[in-house]
Amino acid sequence: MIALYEKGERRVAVVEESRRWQEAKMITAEQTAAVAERYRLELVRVNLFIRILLAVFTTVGVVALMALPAVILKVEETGFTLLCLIFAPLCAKVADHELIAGRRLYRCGAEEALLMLAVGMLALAVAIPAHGWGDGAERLAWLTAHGIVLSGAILLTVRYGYALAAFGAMLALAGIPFHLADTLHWQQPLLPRLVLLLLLGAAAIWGQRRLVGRRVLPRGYVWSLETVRLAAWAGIYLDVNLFAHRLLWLEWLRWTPAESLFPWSDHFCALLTVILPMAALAMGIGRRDRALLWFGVVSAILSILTLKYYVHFGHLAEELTAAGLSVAGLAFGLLHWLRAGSKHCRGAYTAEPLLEPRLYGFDAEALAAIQPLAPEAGVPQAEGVKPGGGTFGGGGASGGY
Amino acid sequence: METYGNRWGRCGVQDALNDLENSEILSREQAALLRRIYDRELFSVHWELRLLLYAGILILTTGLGLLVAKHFSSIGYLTLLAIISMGCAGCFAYCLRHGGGFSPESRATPDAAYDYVLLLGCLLLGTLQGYLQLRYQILAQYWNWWLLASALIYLLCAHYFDNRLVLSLALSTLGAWLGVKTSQLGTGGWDGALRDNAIFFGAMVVAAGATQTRLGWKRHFLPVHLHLGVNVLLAALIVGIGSRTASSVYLAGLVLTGSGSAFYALRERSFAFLLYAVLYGYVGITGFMLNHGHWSSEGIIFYFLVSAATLLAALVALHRRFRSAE
Repeated sequence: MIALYEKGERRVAVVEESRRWQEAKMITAEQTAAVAERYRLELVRVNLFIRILLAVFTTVGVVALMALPAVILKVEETGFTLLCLIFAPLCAKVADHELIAGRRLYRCGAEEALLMLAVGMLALAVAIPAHGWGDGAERLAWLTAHGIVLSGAILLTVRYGYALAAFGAMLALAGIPFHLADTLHWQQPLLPRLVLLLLLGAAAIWGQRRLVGRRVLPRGYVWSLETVRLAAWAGIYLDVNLFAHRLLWLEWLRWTPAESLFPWSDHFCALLTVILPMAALAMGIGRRDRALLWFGVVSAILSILTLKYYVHFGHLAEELTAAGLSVAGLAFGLLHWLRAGSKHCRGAYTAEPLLEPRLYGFDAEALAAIQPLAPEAGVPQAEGVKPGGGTFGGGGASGGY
Repeated sequence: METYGNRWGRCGVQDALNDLENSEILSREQAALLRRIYDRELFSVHWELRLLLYAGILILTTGLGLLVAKHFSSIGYLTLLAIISMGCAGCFAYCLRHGGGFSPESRATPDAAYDYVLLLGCLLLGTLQGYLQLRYQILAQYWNWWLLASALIYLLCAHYFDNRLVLSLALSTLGAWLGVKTSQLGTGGWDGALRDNAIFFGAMVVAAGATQTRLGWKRHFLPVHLHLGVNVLLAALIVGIGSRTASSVYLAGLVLTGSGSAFYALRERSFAFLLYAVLYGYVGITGFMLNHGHWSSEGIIFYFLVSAATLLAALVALHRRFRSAE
């Protein structure tokens, strides 16, 4: 990662975390201001929503800027390739030199959009001229373009720590086996799926191993590794789940995947839709890993909802009612169990809210589904967990736990 | 003054906690608690359990709905009616017992399960209404009035029990009622009626939120009203701009609503509303411009180039003025 970001984003992390401490009433506003002063930021940041707008209109502007000479000069494949080859390095240079190094922009949308556009243009510059070179050459050119997108996304992740680029890299990686199969005319329809599973499995293990040292990693890398790991888990789960659910494919896409390689593979996939959430939950609880815990909860719920596609008990209404009762009962039971513990804790676990999730200023009320997750304003901490109350200088702190 | 960050090497939040404690910005107790959280010696599963609870209740009510549809003729209808009624009554009884009664201000929930028990009660009430309609055809072809009844009951519950989740449910049910009413108008003018109903609904939701806030009644409900109302209103106005008649009126409405949304965003530093205003506004104005003019390809591209550059400059200026990262 570039030195500017590596150095700067650690300060960003502390300042942002201090706001969460204040929101959780663990520290006072004066203390937050003191933290911000001590870890004064040199990087320029913008609000998430303005970041989105800057990214959108930078993209619109650059595409229009590139399209204008293309339309005026009525360029075709070669001309368009030339334009891509001119604009790609230009976008990268403006983003890296002018906006990041010059103006010290950090996750401001505009420089991110420019860098991603540069990668896209470079890929198009390779793929477009191959249009008239015959079927084989065109396929190869698009495969090369795919490789450029993958390499570019990895480069952006490594150099700038962009989690979105890491996600793009995972998507490109997931598409590689299918693209290879198409280009190289693999006759085994299940081979790409097997390669995909192996790639995703390797990515998940690699991400997990790298995250062991998260304490010394820059924040951008931690988020990128989390993205890689979760995308890999999600990819494996979706592949396994959808593969077992031919009916679902048929309903949604009007297409059925190829027949199974082995007679037991459907049952094995169905079993994996149970094993994967359970494994994620077990790892999440054992390692106190929040990302895995969320993945486990969400995928377990998905498995319950899609149960009907691979296990035909013929009593869907009863199954859902029983599953709903079990899930709600389990959550109620765990809540009461944790609250009944000493200081509302059982071991390291508590059901009390400690730090609110990051909502980037977005009111969670907008989405009905996450309504109950919205932070309550000024709710006093329950007995047992009593952070906050301290004042600057530490004289009046009563943050005992 | 040299800030500590300048000397700060490869270390994480944990190391910053040491520094903040040593420099007496954080007290020893505060640093100790935060250190326990970041070292995961203290790990909250508050949000995970709430998600599980929410999902469980949604799955349960879905299952119950299917159960009613499947067995409403075979199970003893009184048995089914009694079970659902008792469940529903039990939920409301729990909320009445544990809740603190009506208050115009925001109230802390008595326990983590409270919100979800109320949600379950409301959803069971919906199931009960569905059952009554299926079994007894009480309102016959006017069944959509059940939706209005549900919306009003949910609104009452949201205000009495001070619950934003049920408020969302009430508002979306009210919107659904307006949509269903429109669908029964027949094919002629259906789109136009739906659009106008959506505009009416969006404006009504925003106005209700603003009025409540002005009266000092459930001020914390305002974001729910605004996010839903502004999105519905702006989307419906964009659809109106695409229509053949009175598109200028809809454009004026879009500009007015977008300006209001942007003004609110800047005043309250709630930049989601700026996003709504700019994106919806840009789509609407662009659609209007392209529909009402004879544009060459170069002209269209030039329009996008100039508009994007103008908006970028405006957004940068806005950020500088309002320090939007805060």
